[in-house]
Amino acid sequence: MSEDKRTIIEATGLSVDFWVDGEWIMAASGVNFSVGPGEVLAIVGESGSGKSTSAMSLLGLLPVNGRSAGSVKLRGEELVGADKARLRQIRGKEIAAIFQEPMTALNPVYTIGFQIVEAIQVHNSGMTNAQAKSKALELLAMVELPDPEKAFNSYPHQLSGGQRQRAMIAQSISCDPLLLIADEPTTALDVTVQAEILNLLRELNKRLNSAIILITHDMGVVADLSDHMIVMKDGLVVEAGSTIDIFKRPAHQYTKELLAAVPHLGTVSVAELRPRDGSATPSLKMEALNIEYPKRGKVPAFLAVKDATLEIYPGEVLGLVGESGSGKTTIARAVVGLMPIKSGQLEVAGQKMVGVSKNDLQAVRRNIGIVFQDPGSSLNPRWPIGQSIQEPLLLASQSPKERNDRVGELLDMVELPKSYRNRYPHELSGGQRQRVGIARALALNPKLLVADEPTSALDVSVQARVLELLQEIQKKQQFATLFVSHDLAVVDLLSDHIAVMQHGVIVEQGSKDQILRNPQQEYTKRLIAAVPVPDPEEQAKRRQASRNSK
Amino acid sequence: MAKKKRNEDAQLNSEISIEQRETEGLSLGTIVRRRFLAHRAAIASLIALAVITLLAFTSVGIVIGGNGSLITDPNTGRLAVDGFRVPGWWTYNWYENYDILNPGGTPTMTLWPFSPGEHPFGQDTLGKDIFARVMRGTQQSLTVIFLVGLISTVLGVVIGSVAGFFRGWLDSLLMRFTDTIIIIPTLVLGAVLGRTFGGNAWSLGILLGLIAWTGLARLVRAEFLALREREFVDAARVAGASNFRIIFRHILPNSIGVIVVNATLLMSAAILIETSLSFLGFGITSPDISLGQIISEYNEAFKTRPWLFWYPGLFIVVIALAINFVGDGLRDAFDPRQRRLPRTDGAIQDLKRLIGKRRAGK
Repeated sequence: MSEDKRTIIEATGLSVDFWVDGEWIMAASGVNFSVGPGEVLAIVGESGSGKSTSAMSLLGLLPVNGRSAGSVKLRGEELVGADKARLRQIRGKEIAAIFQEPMTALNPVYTIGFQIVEAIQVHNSGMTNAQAKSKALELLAMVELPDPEKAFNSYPHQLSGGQRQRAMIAQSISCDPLLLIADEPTTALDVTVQAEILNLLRELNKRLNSAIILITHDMGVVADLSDHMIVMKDGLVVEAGSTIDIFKRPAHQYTKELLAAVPHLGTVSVAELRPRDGSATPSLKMEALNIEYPKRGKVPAFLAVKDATLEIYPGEVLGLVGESGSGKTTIARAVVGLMPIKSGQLEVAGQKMVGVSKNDLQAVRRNIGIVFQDPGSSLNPRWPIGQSIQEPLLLASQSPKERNDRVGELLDMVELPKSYRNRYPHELSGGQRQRVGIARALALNPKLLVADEPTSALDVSVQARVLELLQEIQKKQQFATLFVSHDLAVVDLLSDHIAVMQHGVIVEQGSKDQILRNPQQEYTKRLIAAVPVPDPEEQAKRRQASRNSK
Repeated sequence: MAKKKRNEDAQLNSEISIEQRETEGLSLGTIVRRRFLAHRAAIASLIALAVITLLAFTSVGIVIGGNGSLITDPNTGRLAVDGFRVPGWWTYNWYENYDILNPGGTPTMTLWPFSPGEHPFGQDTLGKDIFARVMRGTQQSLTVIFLVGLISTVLGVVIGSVAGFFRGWLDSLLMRFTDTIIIIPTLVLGAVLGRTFGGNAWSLGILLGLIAWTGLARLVRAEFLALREREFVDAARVAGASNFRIIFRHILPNSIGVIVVNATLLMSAAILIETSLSFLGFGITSPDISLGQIISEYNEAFKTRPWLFWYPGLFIVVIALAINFVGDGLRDAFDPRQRRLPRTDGAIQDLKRLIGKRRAGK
């Protein structure tokens, strides 16, 4: 037993460099940490801060242009500079990893069972197929998949996001690893599912007595799961210590900023709702709207939105909240005319969208702007961003001079340097790209802005800045906004009214205060309770409470 | 007038400060052109192609119109080609027989001291000037290549993109039409049509172009099926872009890599198809010449008179290579992500490291 108490992994002076444009660029430097059995270490930082690269260098999984130096000891064995065959043995067996996106991390053409059996047999070559299968079923049961036998024979696309992540976890713990590296394990998941996965990780950690290195940008997750944390910025560790200490007494300026940037649910002071102008007409009006994905081949038609009724007045922000698959994005797409409407009424900026003619649709689209979720895919990769921004202007047949001036203005508005207009999207960071997306959406001074999860792909501090910017512009220009998000804290920050969706139905809507402080529906309550609070003590209390209630 | 305008522009540009010039919007075309001009191999190939084209067309001149058959000029009693003949600067032409200068017709060109002599590429058994024949052949082959490249690329891109973008019945219709053409072997179709529509370079180029687009159409369709689901297409649609604009301005630049690579492969393949058709007697037929036809005509003299193959072969290789390099340069110019990384593994790097260690040891 005494042996098991030894530190599992210890890094001293770990540094990673990348060869970029003819010189070595430091990605991480002087990283020190040690993790013992049953402990969880969180590495926190923004994208590009070197948190993922430091963790991947533990596995020797750096891209070809990377190199690592310093010392990493796994149970006393040096890993930096170890030969490739030994590292391959260690990967999967002693150190396993869980990745962010379970859909891409699992091979889509093999069943879950096959992939787990493969992982088991690679490291235990003596095991027969039957033994491996029973072990795999045991693992699938351990990660609390409802029907292990069925999951074993399923392909990744047949499982939901949360189930895939569970299968992924089952695969990575298949060889009882000493160390589990979880790289943003819950970022792609809904809050309620995230809460379940975090519970699972915590329990497994205690049961298997292994160590976990958790890489994340979500302070709520850190508070929920970790014992110790290190904060990284620009490749350097700015602060390290126990999670409770750091959350209570952040010493470094950057940590303070990071904690301040996290939107806390329920801390925004509730302003009195401005009374609506009696004569004002809503910018968006929806009555008993049904939206259906039409039948395709053998796949039957699917009613994605049922009987939705909404109204947004000029100058107001309506937050549309729900889990993935609840139909919120479908509503957003229908509003901008990208989805056909089955029945009901939809009126945007005074124009009826049901049975709209092509010309009228063109005209009404000048009054709508949309910001998409994924800033990587919503800008044409072959176009300089200036051209992307001015496209709506060009299509509204403005002169080159007008367009040029307006693009400059818009870039100013979203606080990007004017010289960026000749850059390509891949030369910008995620936050900058999303600003470009906002600039494009606002190019024609729309009456209605549809924002479809505009910040879910961004880091917390970047998210805070983008949201602030959006709020500022919205206050100034007084357009109506339909803000679609799965993050209640973000919605809390921004919106005046909130509508909650579940399975295509709007289950509850009302002012922000009514929904967040006094929810009536069971589902809304559950959604609010599942949001991890960025406060370790509060989180521990809640965990206790939920355990007791079980 | 144009010059004056340019001067004004230059003046205006010099007045714009550096900062302003940086914020001046550049169109996609400008950026692609700049990147292409920075690609050395592509520019060198483009120049090589231009030089070859110029050489081929100016040296022996061209024939406009006519049916291409040989007739005896009633005034001079010499052979002539039917049609309006624009003479070139080279004294010999490709259809007349001359006195054999060197024994066996070996090339008169000497490299040091350099002198082309009377028949630089040699003569065949009848005394025909090989330089003139190669030049005429290059003319014909280039014509075929560019016609095939142009027609099949335009057809393939338009049919593929329309099918991929609109899907539904239009897609089915276009793809079944494509299937119909794919199942008929190119060579058979080319031979039948070539026989029917005469044996000159223009008709052959157009015919081959009309049947060679199928592979490209399939590839472009697949690209479009994937790209049309991306969010930037939705963004363009919301901005009010027409389908035409989305297809040609948004999606097409993103599939340019596939298109350019395929088009250059097609053009290189066109030389071979033309050669085989000419060899079978269905392509460019005697008395006219193509590079492939020269090779097939002399295929029995390979051992005794190798120079009959060297030069047509050299021109085929240079043209095909140059086209591929230009295609490579175009692909890179359209791909904003293109970057070069030094390799840190591989044999050469290992060697360098070894040498570095030895030096450090000393």
